[in-house]
Amino acid sequence: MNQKLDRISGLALILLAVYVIIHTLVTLPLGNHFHPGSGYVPLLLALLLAILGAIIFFKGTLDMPFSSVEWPGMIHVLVIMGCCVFSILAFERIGYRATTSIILLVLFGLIERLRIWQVLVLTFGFSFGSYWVFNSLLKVPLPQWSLF
Amino acid sequence: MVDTVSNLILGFSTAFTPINLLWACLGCFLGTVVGVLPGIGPLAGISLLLPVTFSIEPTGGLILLCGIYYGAMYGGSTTSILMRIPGEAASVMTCIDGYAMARKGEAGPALAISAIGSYVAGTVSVIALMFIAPPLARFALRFGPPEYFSLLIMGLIILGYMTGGSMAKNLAMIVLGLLIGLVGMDTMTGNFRFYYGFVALGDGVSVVPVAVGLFGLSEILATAGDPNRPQAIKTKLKDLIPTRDQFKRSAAPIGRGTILGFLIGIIPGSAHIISTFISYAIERRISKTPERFGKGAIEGVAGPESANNAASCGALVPMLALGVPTGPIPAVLLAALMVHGIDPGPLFITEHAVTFWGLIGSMYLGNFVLLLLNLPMIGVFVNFLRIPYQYLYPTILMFCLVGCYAVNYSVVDIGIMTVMGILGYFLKKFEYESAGVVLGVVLAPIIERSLRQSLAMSHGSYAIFFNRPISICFLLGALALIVVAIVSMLRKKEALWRAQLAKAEK
Amino acid sequence: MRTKMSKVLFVVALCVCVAGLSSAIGVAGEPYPERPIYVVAPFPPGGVCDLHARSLAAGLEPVLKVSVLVINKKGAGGAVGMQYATTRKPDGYTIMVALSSEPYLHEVDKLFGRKPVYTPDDFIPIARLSSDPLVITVHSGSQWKTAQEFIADAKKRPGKIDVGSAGMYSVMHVAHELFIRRAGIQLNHIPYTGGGPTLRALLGRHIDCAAFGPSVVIKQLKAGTVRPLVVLGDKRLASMPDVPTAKELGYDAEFYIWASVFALKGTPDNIVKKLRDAVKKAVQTKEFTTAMKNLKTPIQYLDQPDFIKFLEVDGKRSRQLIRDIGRIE
Repeated sequence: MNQKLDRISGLALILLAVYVIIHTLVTLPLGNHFHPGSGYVPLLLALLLAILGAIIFFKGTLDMPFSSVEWPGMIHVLVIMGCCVFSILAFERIGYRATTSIILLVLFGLIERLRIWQVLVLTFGFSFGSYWVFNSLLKVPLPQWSLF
Repeated sequence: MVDTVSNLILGFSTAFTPINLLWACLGCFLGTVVGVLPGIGPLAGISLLLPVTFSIEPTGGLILLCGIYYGAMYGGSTTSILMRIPGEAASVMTCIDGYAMARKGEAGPALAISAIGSYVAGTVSVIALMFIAPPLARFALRFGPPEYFSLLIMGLIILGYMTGGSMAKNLAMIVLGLLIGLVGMDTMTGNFRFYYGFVALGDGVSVVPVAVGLFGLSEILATAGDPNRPQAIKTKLKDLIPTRDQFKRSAAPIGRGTILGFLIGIIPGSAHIISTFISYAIERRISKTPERFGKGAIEGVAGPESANNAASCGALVPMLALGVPTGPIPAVLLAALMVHGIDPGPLFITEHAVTFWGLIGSMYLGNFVLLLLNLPMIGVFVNFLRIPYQYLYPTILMFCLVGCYAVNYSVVDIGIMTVMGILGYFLKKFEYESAGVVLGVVLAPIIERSLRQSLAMSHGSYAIFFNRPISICFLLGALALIVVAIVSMLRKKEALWRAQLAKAEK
Repeated sequence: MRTKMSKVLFVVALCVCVAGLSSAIGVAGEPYPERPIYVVAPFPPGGVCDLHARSLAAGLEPVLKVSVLVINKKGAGGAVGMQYATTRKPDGYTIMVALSSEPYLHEVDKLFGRKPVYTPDDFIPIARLSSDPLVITVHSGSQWKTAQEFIADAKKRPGKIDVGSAGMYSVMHVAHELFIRRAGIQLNHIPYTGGGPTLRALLGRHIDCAAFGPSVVIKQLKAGTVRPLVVLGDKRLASMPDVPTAKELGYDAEFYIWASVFALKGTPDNIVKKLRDAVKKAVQTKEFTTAMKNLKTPIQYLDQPDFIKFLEVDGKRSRQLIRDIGRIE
């Protein structure tokens, strides 16, 4: 894993471009230069991306090795991503207030370990308060789950 | 000229009736609120209040709704500066230096300059709107698909030429954004592209979740677990006001941003976002200290923020003068006029003089009210940064989530934001600029559509781009830029400038 | 201390969930309506659909005595919003205002070999609010003064005249396809992304003609910027009495942009009945009638039985047209 950073990102861009090219050729009609079809512009852009990726791969000036990058606080990163995924699954099933309450309980209570009264006040204050502002005051309908 | 002055007096006398004054203030206030809150931009704000205005007389109703429109434009920069959440695509550039300033304890000056810049841009644009609306609007109509295409190509070349850092990396980000922007239904044929069975992607990837993910969410991901978390910032009262030096630095960028924004704004259907990008690029290119950009340069807030406001005002020109919408928000304003029994059309200005000039009067007034409203609010807003980070970031995360959801009531948008958050997190680690991705997402559909529409118009002949006067001007401009770039590259001046930037990045 | 606290938190979170669940069960048998009603509008704010939905909401509020909220859910020519509506609970608290594309969009999905995201069977027609024939319109500076001249010229140079529309398979597109098929001409189609951009293109003379709804044409007509040629309706419009219908010219081409109210399949019959009555009253309220008058859209109310008959004829026509147009590469 002691590759230079620009090598890795350049390669990633090339791989992405190759995938787009294959996907385009398989699924989309290309048309011709005079009457471009759905796949024409994506193919063009993917080729351009591959060229740029190659330039970055060979000419990249960022010569720090990959191992020099620090990845502090992966737990936080994973938990926050988890919260996002949870909200995708839960938002329209259990409603806005329940979803936000659970996320905030986790973040304030389990991750940040605030005092219990702070956790409860902040969590329910935020989720109910923001729901009231959006739903009742501004009439932006947020998903609700009957009474909660 | 005499007519305009007498009409303006009529306008002010309409705007200054107590009831209209009240509507203007109320509109500005509500606009600021919806602008500050994520997810509900001016579009939602205006559509929400549209039924309320059914019972108000038309001029008052229009004043109220326009107040929301430009009030939201003022409010939009607040979250960009304080939380790095761009409320709309056009605030992306404000995020970069605005947030950097806030982290340096200069949130006050950043907010103040963006309010003052918006005020100047708004007022100057209204003056321009007043004097040259009809001829300008007729000129703007001559922009068809070939003109858009040439304009955007020139814009991209300007950006490619002026961006700092590694040009290949910046271009790669724009191309990546362009590819993301092509997801969804191909408007020319009805084919779905790269949609993986998600019907909600049919209209393409929306810009707000992309911008919020790349900026707001990735920032939380990078800093929440960092042992050196951002400290709470206690701002002193004297730090709230921009210094004399900051004022001096901002004056010229505000002027340039205003002109640029207004000109791009009047072109219907164009992307206002490009005016903020070009403004930022110009400021960095002509700055004597380009290395300060990205690390809290006040010019990087003043220019794009003025351009953004001038563009949103310029967008009203074709709407008021010809009755054609220039974008989603003017479309709603247009609908509001129609609901009130005013036919917005080419005869609007002559037939409904009281409404038109009353609106102009109220826009002067509204911009002033907003300045008065926003400057004292800065003192309140900066307190937000006093909150310790462990309380702050879950709240910001919530703002990101609800903001993305409320745009189109779609959890798919939260998904897009999540993916973009991860992408932004890695881009930061690998030292890429994520702003280019946002630009690409906005421009991709317009560029592709205008290319294919042009070719459909010309039955497959590329000559259409060279036969039309406006289009050929842009292409020649682009060519000239390339020549200039090559010449200056040969003269080593360019290399010097890039070396200066590169040295600063080390 | 820490573990104790997380236990407490867990219990609280659990209680929250249980409370929500139990209240969700307890809603059966409540009097209707006692909560806000959502109107799904599958198009962006400011368009025909949105304006109908908002005007209807303003009219329904005093009738039903609850707040009525509009949800704009745009995307893929309306398909996204309609699919979203089908995912909501059919308890009468979600209704939909849709346009003429409702009966045929799933046919487009079939053309492309996609699984339709909804079918018209997913909705119960409640009432039609308005129905306006489309008008083939050209720029006032163009050489064609009458429909006959236009058709003669188009026959002379097939595929050389540009026609714009709000997008592939949009109402505007399907309408002009019907007209050119019946008139036996060929035009060069350039899709835009909505009625507004198409109007801009016509005024800037980037396209030669397009099929607009009359409300758009009227306000430009007064300023003399456009010239309507043919009305795709069964009789001439009161607002433009000089413009002939396609029938008068000998072409059987009728196409309407209508806005109608739908409920979700599975909504209880008694609630559907209540909704029908409420919409009937709402269209007579001052809020609704003034808004429609100002939008230059005549109210063409049809109650459920008549609307279903209308929908059958209209849907059959548009679905056939989609199959005729076919897949465009």
